[in-house]
Amino acid sequence: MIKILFPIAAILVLASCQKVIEIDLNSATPLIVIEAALQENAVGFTVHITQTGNYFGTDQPKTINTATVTLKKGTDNPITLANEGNGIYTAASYVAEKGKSYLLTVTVDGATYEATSYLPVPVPLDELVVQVSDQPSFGSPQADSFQVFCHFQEPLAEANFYRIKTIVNDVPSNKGENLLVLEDRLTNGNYIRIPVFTETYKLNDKVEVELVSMDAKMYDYFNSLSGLVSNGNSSAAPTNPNTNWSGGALGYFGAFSSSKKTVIVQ
Amino acid sequence: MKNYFTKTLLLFLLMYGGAAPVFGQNFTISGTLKDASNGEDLIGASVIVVNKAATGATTNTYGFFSITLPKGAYQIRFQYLGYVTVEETITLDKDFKFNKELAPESTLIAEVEIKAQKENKNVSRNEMSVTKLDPKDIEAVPVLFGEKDIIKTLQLTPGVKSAGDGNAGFYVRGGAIDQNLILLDEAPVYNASHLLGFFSVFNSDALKDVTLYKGTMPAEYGGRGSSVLDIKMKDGNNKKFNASGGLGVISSRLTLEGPLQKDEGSFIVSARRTYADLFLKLSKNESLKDSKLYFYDMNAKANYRLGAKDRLFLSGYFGRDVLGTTGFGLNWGNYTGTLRWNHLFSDRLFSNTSVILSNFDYQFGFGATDNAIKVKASIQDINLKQDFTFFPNTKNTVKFGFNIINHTFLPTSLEADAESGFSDSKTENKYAYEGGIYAQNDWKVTERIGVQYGIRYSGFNYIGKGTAYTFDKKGNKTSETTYKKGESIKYYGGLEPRLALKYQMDEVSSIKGGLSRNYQYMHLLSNSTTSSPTDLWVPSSNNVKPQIVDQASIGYFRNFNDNMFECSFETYYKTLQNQIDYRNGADLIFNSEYEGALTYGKGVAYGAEFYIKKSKGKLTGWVSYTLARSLRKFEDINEGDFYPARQDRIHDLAIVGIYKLSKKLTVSANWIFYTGDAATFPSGKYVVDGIQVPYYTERNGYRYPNYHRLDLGITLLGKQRKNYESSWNFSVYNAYARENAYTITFEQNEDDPTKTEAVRTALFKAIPSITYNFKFR
Repeated sequence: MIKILFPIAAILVLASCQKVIEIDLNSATPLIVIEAALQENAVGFTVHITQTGNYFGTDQPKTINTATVTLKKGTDNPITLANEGNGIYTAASYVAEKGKSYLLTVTVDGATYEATSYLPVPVPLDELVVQVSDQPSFGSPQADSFQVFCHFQEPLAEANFYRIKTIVNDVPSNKGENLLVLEDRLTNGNYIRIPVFTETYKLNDKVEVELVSMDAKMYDYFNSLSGLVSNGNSSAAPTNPNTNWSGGALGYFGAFSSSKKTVIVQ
Repeated sequence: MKNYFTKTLLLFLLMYGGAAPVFGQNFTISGTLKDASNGEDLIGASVIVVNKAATGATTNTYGFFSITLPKGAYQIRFQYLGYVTVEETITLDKDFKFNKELAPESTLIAEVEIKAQKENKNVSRNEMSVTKLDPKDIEAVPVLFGEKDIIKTLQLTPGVKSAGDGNAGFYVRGGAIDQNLILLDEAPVYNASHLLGFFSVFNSDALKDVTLYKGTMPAEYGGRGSSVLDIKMKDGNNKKFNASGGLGVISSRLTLEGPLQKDEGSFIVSARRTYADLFLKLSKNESLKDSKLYFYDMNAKANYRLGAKDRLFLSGYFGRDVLGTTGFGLNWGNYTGTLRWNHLFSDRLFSNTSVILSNFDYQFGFGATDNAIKVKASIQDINLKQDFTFFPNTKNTVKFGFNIINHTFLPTSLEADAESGFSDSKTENKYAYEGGIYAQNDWKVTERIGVQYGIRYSGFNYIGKGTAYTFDKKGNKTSETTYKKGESIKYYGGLEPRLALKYQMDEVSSIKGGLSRNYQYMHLLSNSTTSSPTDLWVPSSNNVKPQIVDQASIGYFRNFNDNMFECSFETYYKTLQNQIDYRNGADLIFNSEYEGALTYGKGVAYGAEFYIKKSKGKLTGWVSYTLARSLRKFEDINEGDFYPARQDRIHDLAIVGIYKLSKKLTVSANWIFYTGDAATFPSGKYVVDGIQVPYYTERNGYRYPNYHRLDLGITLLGKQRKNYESSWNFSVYNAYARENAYTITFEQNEDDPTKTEAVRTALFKAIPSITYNFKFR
């Protein structure tokens, strides 16, 4: 919520100026990055293992190709993912099950990283409603600017955590500033009408919205990640997102379920 | 309470026991000193017994003094720099009362002259690490938008650092922003800034005296770790009615003052408002046009004398900031109120009783309609304070008293209309009592040696009605206990010794030392670079321990050339216990279990401060240089190693020069240089969900580029008429348009998201401003 203050702070600063500058950064020992998203409504499960690179580097991240990756559902026997090379590990025909906990174990050069994630029941999106934007957009006219509101019934029974993902004209919005997460602490059990307030759209845009459900740890991860990569991030002391990996790896292991709707802006 | 009483009594006896014996028949000379032109009390003016070495007194906050002497003939001198000295010869065979008025040497010149205290007071007073500003002194110092501001002028003195470019927040000797106790007529001000920090809430037109204690603070003060900024409002002219004010680019001010009854009582009302939003109205952009962006504040005070022994003061501050645009609105503000009663129990025992209210609140609303969702939070204090000053003899001045504060925190509440999807929500109120009891003696041991020693016992009781939580090391809740109304959840208390020593080598030089301990029971949780009104004040509790700050300082003071140059060199070492930080991504508002997200550590700060000030002649001004470090250590930050605090600026230099070209024309310039803030920059990056994520290894391991800036100002006095005078003030902030980094952020390139870059935002490039000041008499 405090993030809302920053655009306001920005208009104060009528005389401000921005410039890309050169900074000498130390390079750190590379760290393992494990990105693993287990989707309820998709077949197959893929894990990407890479390393951190220099901040201003332009090379593709280095991949880790010697890892052993196992996935365990509840108390079932673990399955081992196939090493596809290029840092990719897969369980091609795997189907995830909602309401279950998963444990992912990654071993690289004798070091073990573990993370657990619970796959929640999806919350259905009711409808998408287009409205002319009432959000401030300083310096640009906004008559042709639209917002999409997601309407859904928030379940009363449990604590829910969401991420709203969009695909605009078939292109996923995956900029840091578009990362949008929600929790139901203040909205539990209500009928929700929330705009995708990180984006505005133009006439005839095709907007696909995915309401992703996840567990509390994933919310914590994406919420702290969004604090780091959103625009106007002015934290005095940025730190790495709160990952669910043990052992000092970056990235996350998340189990997600979701529901989708598409709307044409008109 | 009984415990408190025994403690005071004991303390008092201990201290007074050390005082010199007085024999023979003694009489007391007492009274008040005032400014003859407007009846304002003179604070810190000297009353000197000329024919008795090292004997004299200094007027207190209310202009009162008292000297007790054996029977005899004396010559008494009343003096205050910038005022005509008065002498009286008396035969002391009974108690004497003097209510003296001193005439300003020249009212006109005083407007732009840097005024020292008493000429060598910096050398001779027992206290060290004290910065005094006369609000009149700062008029010629150029500032941002021409909006003169005492806090921004204080930032140009040693040991005080600004919280950022153009920011009115400040750090004292490596302490945090919340470790400054800011008092306006004794009322604590919780959020001392307007417009997200660019202006302080103090309208210097309404202020009389500003004193910053950055080392050993007198025992009467307590509650914050690093400093006390004690601001006194003007009482108002009790001779005649007066209107003054100013028109500036960003705001206008108006002050009205006058007698309630001539010489017996007066009032002052001072108000200002910014009008940046009026310019926004001219904009063609619809959303800018609808934007609100302003603040206003008002100071008001009245005092009235009820006979020779009693005087009443009522003062208040009210200020508010309003920001908003379609779909979003934010406003916040403070109000304070102080009712004071001065009473003379005898010529030697002065009493002041105060009842003080302080309140800070913010609210914001957003949603489809302006206020579909409304959020509110506030903090409120009611404070009872009793202070006595006892003047036993010419060598001792004893102060003692107590205060008790009732704190009420209304953390956050949310009101939402049904359409919004939000539920009404409220986190529990929190309640606490904070108290202090103190005694202190200012003792002139010999002509050369002086000691100010005191002790304060402070206590804090966090009480119900409320719920207390316990957490494990990872911050997960382990238990929850509810407490009844008034039931103690957690009590903290401790002794705060304060000691200041002075050895004066001669009239112009001295060495001083200080030792002190301060407890701080209230904490501000903030993690943004700007000061934000939504930063959260929280009490000490079963989880949050009070901050404890210990400081040792030593200094050498030397004046040159008939006190034309005042020099000082001070060093300090400070340890900070129970410092607070919080976990990344922690939700602090709407979260009654926020304490689970807190982590605790310690800190150390040390430094050396050099100051030279020229207060006479055509050229006045000062050079201030601070060499300092401020480090913190938290178990789970930076692998448990010490790291530089954000305010760890190693070098900090300010040069202020004011040159009086003629009676009408004064030019001025400041040059400021400091080491860039400590900052956390990424050491690498990686990709998650197609987003380039910076990877951090160490806290504050980097520095912003060095900061420097030149400000220029011209003050031109208009023609002086019998009933009217005016002046123009022109200034340029950051005259050579240095692009100082306000923030450096690490972002994906807009056009090529695979690339990452560092973006520097600079706020103010060469900001000119103009102000017209006027005064009707």
